Amino acid sequence: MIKLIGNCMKRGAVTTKYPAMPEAAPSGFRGKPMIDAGKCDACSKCVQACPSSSIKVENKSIAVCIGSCLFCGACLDACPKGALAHSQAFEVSSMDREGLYEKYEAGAK
Amino acid sequence: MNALAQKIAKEFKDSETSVRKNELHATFPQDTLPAACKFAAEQLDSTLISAACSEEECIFRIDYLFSLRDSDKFLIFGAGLKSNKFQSITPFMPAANWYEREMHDMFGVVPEGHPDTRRLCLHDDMPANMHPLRKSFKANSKPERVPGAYQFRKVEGEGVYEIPVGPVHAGIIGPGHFRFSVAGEPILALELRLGYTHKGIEKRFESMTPETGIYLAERVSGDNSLSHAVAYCQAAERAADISIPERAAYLRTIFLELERIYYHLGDIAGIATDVGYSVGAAEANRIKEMAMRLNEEASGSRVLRGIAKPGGARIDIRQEAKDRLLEMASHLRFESKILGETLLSSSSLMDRVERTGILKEDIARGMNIVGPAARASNVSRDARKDHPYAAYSKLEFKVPTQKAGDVLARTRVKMEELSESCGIIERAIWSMPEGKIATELPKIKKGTKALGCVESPRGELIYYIIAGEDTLSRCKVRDPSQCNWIAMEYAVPGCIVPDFPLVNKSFNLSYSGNDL
Repeated sequence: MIKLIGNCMKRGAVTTKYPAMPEAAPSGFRGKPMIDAGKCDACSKCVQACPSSSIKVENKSIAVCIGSCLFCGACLDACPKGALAHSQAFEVSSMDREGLYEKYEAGAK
Repeated sequence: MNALAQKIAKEFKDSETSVRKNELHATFPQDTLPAACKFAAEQLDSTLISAACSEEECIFRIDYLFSLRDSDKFLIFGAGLKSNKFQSITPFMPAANWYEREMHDMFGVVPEGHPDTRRLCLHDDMPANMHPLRKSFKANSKPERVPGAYQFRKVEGEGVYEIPVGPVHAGIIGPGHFRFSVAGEPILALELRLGYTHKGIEKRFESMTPETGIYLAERVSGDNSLSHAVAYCQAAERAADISIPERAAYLRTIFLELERIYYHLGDIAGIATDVGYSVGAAEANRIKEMAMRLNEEASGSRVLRGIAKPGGARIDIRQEAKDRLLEMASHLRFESKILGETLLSSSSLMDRVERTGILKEDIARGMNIVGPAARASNVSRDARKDHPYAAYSKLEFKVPTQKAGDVLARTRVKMEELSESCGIIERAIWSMPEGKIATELPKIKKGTKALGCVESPRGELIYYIIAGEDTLSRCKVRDPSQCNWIAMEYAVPGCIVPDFPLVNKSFNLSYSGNDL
């Protein structure tokens, strides 16, 4: 017990004041999938690959639902253009349902 | 393998046997199946590891899965049923108890001679003729509720009373009902009632292809994600008759051990919390968080999802990550060693865990208890040694066992496994070859049956799949919790009521993995 307290004193605090002091996710983190609209041509390959049907494509507009996204990365593997990537964002909650949708226009810069 | 097939063919004239890799599939006439199961257990020295019912064009089939004790072989004994009744094997093989009750609920096949005909997975407010895993049952239909109540076993006598606990508990754990019969403080008997989180997972698998099933398998039980994923992949790979690249096997091994580390640390933290030793608990949780951050750094996911896929692995370990893993493996070993010393030298913890919740060795063997719980009762069973998968056959490691079978023994086994796991990670990183990390999964022939077996942190985990046309026709998941929940009914009597949370924590079983 004395040894443990000694170790704790030496180490100092291990917790951080979140959210006052935000932390960055590690480099390999698989966060919210983001579409580079400039590269995307709305081919719908990601729609077929998505196991939870979280991506909708209508004509050229694409909507990704973060509420049902599994963050599995199947869409990234399926994209022939490499237009999808995991972002580092992990604070993706929203106060309304609309806020859970990421909307893109294919081909837009 | 062929000698074994001949032995079975000689004993049972009407049987049909086929061998694939280390699986021996045998089909018997319905009336000789119980005798064949008895033969497997007594003459071939094997253990019942799972049992599954399946339906093909309105004909039911039951399969009992055995694993040979002294060699890396599996037996799959099955029979097609002529009606919806079959002879139960539970009277002479108690490990089959829950499997047969499950078949009764989910398929409506009646195990004749079964000593317990109450419902198990479906609750008593479900209609009598509703059997969700039959092909005729529509997955999106909403069943009507009917009146019905579960009959608990009664303990009678002067001063005996019942304490119902759950299904809703304080804290964020799964739902389960515990019915204690007590006389004063000591518990006389405990009966479990689970199945509150039935999600229809096995039904859902039937609408998935072998490639997409992985996403569901990963989410069967939250803290054993990767074990479930790998067990599923192994079943699919065996069915497709492919072997994965060597690098993928090593990658799976490294991540499976990372899963074991964070899971065991969480368990140890739980034990410290439940005895009220908050300093020790905080320390254990700190190390667990370190392990989970390492997971995130190495794989992008704290709970190790998205790592395995049928045919290999989805992510690779880069050179920097390798160095980081090596550094952290030795750091985690050092930290957990100090943690172990701190906890086990605390008299307030030792007072509570020694001789609490003893699981006897013969019960552990007879009821087919698996994982650290079995190893703490002197049953040296570990799928990594008995049925080596991934890269375990190429790596040196010990399987720690304890004799006492109490909460302390289970905690000690987990502590020793922690340092073994760190060693496995180090050796695997040193000897990991370069090369491809995945191969293509070819189309699986309809009707192919295969199993996948993984030693998850909780114990042996079995996936048994039957391939359909495009999708899976049946996927039976046997989480280690399904074997081990019953152990609680044997370990708890004799303890006092306040010790129950501790015993429960020392087994740390999954509600979600059991209820499916």
